[in-house]
Amino acid sequence: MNISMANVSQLVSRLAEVGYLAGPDLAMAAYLALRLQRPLLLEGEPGVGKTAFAQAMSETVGRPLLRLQCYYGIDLKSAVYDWNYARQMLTIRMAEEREEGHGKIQDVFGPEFLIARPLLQALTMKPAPVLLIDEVDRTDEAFEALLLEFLGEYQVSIPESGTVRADEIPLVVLTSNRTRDVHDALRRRCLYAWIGYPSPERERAILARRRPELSEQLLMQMTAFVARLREEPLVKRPGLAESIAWAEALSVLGAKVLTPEVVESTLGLLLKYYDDVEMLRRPVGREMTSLEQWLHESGTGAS
Amino acid sequence: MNPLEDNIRVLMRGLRELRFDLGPDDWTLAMQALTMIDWENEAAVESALKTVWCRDAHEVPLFSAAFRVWRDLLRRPDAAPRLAQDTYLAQIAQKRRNEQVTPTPQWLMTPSRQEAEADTQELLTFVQGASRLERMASQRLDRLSDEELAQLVAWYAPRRPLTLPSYLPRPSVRGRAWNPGETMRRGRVGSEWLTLYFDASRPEPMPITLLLDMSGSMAGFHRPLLQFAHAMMRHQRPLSVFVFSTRLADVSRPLKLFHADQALAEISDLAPDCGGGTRIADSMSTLWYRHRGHPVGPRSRLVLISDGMEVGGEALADWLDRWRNFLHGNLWWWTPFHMDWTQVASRSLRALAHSTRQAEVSTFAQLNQAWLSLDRART
Repeated sequence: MNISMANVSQLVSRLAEVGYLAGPDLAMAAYLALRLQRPLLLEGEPGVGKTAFAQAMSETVGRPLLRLQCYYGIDLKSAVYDWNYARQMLTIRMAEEREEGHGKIQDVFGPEFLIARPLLQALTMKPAPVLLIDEVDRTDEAFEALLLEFLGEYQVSIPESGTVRADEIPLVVLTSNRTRDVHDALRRRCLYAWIGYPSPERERAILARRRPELSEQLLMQMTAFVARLREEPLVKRPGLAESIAWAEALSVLGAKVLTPEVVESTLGLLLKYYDDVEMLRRPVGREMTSLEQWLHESGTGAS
Repeated sequence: MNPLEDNIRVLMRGLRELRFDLGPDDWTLAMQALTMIDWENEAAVESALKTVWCRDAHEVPLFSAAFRVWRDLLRRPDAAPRLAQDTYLAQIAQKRRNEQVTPTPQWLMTPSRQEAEADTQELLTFVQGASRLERMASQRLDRLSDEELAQLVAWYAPRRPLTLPSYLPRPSVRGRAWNPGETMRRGRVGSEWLTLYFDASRPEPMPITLLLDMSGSMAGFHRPLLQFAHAMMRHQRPLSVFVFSTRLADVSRPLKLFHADQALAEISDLAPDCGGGTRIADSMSTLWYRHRGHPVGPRSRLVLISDGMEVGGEALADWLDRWRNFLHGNLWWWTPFHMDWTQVASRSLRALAHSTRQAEVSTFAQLNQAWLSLDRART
């Protein structure tokens, strides 16, 4: 992708302009992915901003975003290309009506019968887009093998018509939640970055940018409480996405300070499992629940 | 050669010692990356090398630690580059030595000859008339020698891997729904005859996870059970094996070694707490947070092989329920001890009896039968 980017700092500031505060490791990985023209594999817990990063990069470099959402069973027809069978059959029938020979049937595998799916679109689109291959760990091994040629050579081989190569290399971002281990062959072709949970300071900065109407004190209480929650053995720890949703809810409710009642009423935005909610409601002392104790420990002063 | 390149080559060699899979392409890529950043900025160098050399979440903290050691060595005023390199590699070698703890004697202990002979005499009267292999198969696992177990494994080796139907349909010449795309694609070549293709489910290898208790109360059963797992590893491709006593260890990789003795020796290094207390709930919790999804997916079969003597046992019921829900009920408990399921007294045993499907695996025949029943007991 022909994008002028002088250094990492410039990329960080341009990402910040579109509302994404990237950490130093992620910014370096993105910068090298642009300069070395390599795919970038992002791993991390759900809701830490992997998909949002691809969207932000799309806005930063001013290129369209193509998204391929992966799932178990995704195949060539859904991801790369498919043939327009109805049109092929109609063409054959029309050729028969016109009493033309069978030689014409070979023409039904021309480009006009090809339906380009996201991977093929990414190679043929001008200017080259940002391609997001989201949640690649949800696919099966067959699809990973299918991706190897695309990620290694930026090309797709179509047996019926030939090989399609990219004129301009697209920026490819793959994300994974590590529900399944991605094969080493795929990892070798990519640059790698791990996105962990943000530090309370960085999370506060992100929330302040998203919800400037929330007070500094409330943001500090929120981030401290969320950080405390992440230390617990929850089934699903709250990610950054949950924090943002929680901040939006508190903004709508007009909360000024974090109290047990406010947290209790909005807990569903942070925790997604009944076991986790139950853990917070469990009494730990004579008159305190875990929720109240953690709020107290996280420095909100509530008890 | 550029001194920075020389030093980075030292770092790369050290990382290889730490089992980073780095080849010549990675070296070239790292050099390209370094030309695009500020060499004077230490954090930028670390970030760039981390981006191009790390490929897994586990490698990230290991890389950071190795980078710090490497950087500190380079900063020492008295250290010549060669000395720094040797010291760095020596530190890594020492770290690896420390990770390998001497095997617990109990783990490698086999029954004395007198005991073995006495047991043989006792069992001979019981299984009179049976063939030698049948006699061995009905003998308690902890009384079998390595050679006997190897013979049993070779004799009872499964003819085919365990399978389950694929979740999504695949193209097939038989099936209910016609697949026009596949029919057209495959009909391009060949004669004028067109073979119709349909969507149908196809058998896929069954993912199985064994969770083996190596606590003191299971002494004597570890080795035969691991030998069995080693043999099954060659037949059942998606098989993962974890062992635990006080903490969980993944032993799937050493079990893939060809020689069973070598595999078991490596496992004794990986599980230094063998022979300790039993912490099933903690291990299931660790398994949940670290390995849920991969290798233990929703379609997996999770088999806990334990005597069920959990210390405490308050949290066990919760974790068993959680795993049972995640696995759609495909949670087994195999115990090498005879147990009356209606008379279980302790809290942990009650939880196990309630949440799992049970099987007794005190003999090889029972173990083999329980293994084959994983295939038959589909949900």
